[in-house]
Amino acid sequence: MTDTGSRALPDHPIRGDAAGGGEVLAFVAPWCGPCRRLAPVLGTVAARHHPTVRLVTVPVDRDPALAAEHGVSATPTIVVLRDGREVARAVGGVGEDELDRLFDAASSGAATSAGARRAGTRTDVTLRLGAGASLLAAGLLAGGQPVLLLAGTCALAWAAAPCRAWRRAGAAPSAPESTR
Amino acid sequence: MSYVNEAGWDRIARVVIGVALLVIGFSAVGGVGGVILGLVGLILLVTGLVGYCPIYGLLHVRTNGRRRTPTAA
Repeated sequence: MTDTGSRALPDHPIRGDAAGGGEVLAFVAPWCGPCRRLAPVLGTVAARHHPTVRLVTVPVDRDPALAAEHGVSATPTIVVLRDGREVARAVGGVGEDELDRLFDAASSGAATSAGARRAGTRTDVTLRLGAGASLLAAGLLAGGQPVLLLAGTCALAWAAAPCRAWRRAGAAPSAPESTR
Repeated sequence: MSYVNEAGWDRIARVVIGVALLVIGFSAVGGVGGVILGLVGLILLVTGLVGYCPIYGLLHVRTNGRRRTPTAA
């Protein structure tokens, strides 16, 4: 992926400092009102995640090839990359909370998009396993209390289910750099 | 309900207290009081396992880290 460098919209400097970890590409246009409104919020969130996540602002009029490569058809579009793979995308004006989540996705690599369920992390699985085992044990000690046994079984099943989805998500090809 | 707004300590506390309330409510107390305790425990347990608290979401609060800096006008 070509780094076209950071361009600032007038009066809204956006940090594009290089760092390790993930990248957030912000495809904007100077004539785009939502882009102008997004710029200061984007700068604030980028500063908060600096230097873990690198922000690159891409004016679509100056680099239409990169915009086409990433399938950008509207501005503003935020594309989150981690290790060169797209893990999240948002189109249109987004709020500060959503930007925080997108930058989190860049630093953690967890795939996320509006409305999508987050894949189970190690913490999630550990908590579910612990809760499930505790509830099952308590249910058995309480003489087969059905509610506790059911809750424990559900928690253990929940711990097992995202693991398979997680592995499938990791194995699925994702080629943001491929020619479209 | 896809995002985490609870810190690790918050989630662990919710799960532990939730499990405890469930056990106490459905095995020790019983009756209406036990069901209520159990439901409260279930809510705490589920929000802890998911990592997202709807009340936190409504109040724009998060216990997992970053202090919000004032947005430039």
